[in-house]
Amino acid sequence: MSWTVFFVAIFSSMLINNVVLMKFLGVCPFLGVSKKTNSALGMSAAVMFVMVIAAFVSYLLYYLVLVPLEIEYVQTISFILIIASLVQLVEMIIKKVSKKLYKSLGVYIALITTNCAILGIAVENITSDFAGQYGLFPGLAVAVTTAFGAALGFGLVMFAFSSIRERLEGSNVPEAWKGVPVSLITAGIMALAFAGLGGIVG
Amino acid sequence: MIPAVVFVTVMVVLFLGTFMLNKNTPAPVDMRISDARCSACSNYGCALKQEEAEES
Repeated sequence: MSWTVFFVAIFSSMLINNVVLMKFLGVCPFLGVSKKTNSALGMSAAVMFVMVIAAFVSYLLYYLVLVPLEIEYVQTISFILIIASLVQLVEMIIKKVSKKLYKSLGVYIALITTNCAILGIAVENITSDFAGQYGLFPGLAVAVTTAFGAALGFGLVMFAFSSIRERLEGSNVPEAWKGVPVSLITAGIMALAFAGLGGIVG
Repeated sequence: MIPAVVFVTVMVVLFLGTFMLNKNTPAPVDMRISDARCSACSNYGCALKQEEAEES
């Protein structure tokens, strides 16, 4: 397995298969927490934190517990519970360890429990069968890299979208388009731009 | 079937355990998150949002 695999995993999950604009996962925080750039960055950082850890834990849980016990059908519910537990754990650790980090991420950490992008990436890492392609532990590295790339992609579109929305606040938008309509049109145009990257990686 | 039930029960207990631990962990002093009192977040299930609605 060469380094190209990791590069392709990051590039592909960040830009080509962007979690928000191509897979339409995590649209709730994309629209709800993107009015201000600071909030968008805070949410992105919290998502990145949890998404990578959730991908790591859920992959190991699936291959080391669910597959040997032949109970793969409880995958979704177990991933939901793992993500919810991780969010609680991460919030608790942040409370104890870093006052500064808690101030910047505290509000957003709890919201991540309901972010379907986290669950989507965890499930996709399993359906992509990285373990079958590369072996159990190299597959784990690819899965975590994919999650990291997806989180970077989430952060990228959150930052870009929130910046555009901030500029739209002060611009001369027709009355009927103000607020949500122009935001949705902007999101659509951004999705078209990202769709243009399709096919770069085979 | 039984391993699945046991496994899901363990996961639920794990979640409840982490939830209770987190709930009992005090937030750092002077860290009442006032940033949440903004229009950036649309989560109306959030306790801070509900407080805000009651105040207004």
